[in-house]
Amino acid sequence: MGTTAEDIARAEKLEGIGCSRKRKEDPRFVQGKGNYVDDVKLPGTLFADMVRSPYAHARIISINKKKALALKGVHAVYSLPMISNL
Amino acid sequence: MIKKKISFKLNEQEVEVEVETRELLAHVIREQLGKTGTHIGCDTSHCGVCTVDLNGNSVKSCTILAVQADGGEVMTVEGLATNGELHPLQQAFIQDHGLQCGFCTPGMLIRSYRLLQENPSPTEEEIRVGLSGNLCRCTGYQNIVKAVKTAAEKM
Repeated sequence: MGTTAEDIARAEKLEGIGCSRKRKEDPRFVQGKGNYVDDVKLPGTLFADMVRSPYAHARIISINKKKALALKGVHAVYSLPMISNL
Repeated sequence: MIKKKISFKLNEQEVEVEVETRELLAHVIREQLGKTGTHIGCDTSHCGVCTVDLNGNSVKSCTILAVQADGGEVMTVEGLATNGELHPLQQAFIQDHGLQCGFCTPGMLIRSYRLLQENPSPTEEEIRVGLSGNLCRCTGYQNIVKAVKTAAEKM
């Protein structure tokens, strides 16, 4: 695509293939009004944290959730047997 | 849990908040002050999306304690436009397609703002070095550099 003023004027007039289009969402994004998932605040939102095995190569024999569940603010601890029917 | 009352200027407005001394500036700006334009991308000061301006320096707000901003002046992306008029950098980013998903944009803008204060007419190389602490996961660097150049010419 040409870059002279004439080329740009023609491309703008054409409004088709090969011309730059202004995006509708940009004014929001450049002003910090994007509203990404982390920006959404719903009442009662909980946070999830993944617990990974501290061993690089091992078999899971059992998972003891007692201590985690006893912590203040912990609502649930999920492991595979509880969600395997999903 | 030690709490401390701090006050600072956020985008020219005086704010007062009670924070835990361990709390990070990014979290206070987002959670307590509701300015979600400042994003958190990595929590490890690699990506730069949390960049804000603190006392005339670009800082990664996920690596600064909120108490360090006490008595200071902070500017976030929300403070760039004046009276509804977009800053030349914001206009240039739109015009030159300097953003795709937009997630890194606030950090890029606020860092570019400081960069142009320090060096009003940077070369392409200087822009690239100046923005090296800000990652764009869409990899749209070409147009980001172009946009900063355009803005520099218009300012």
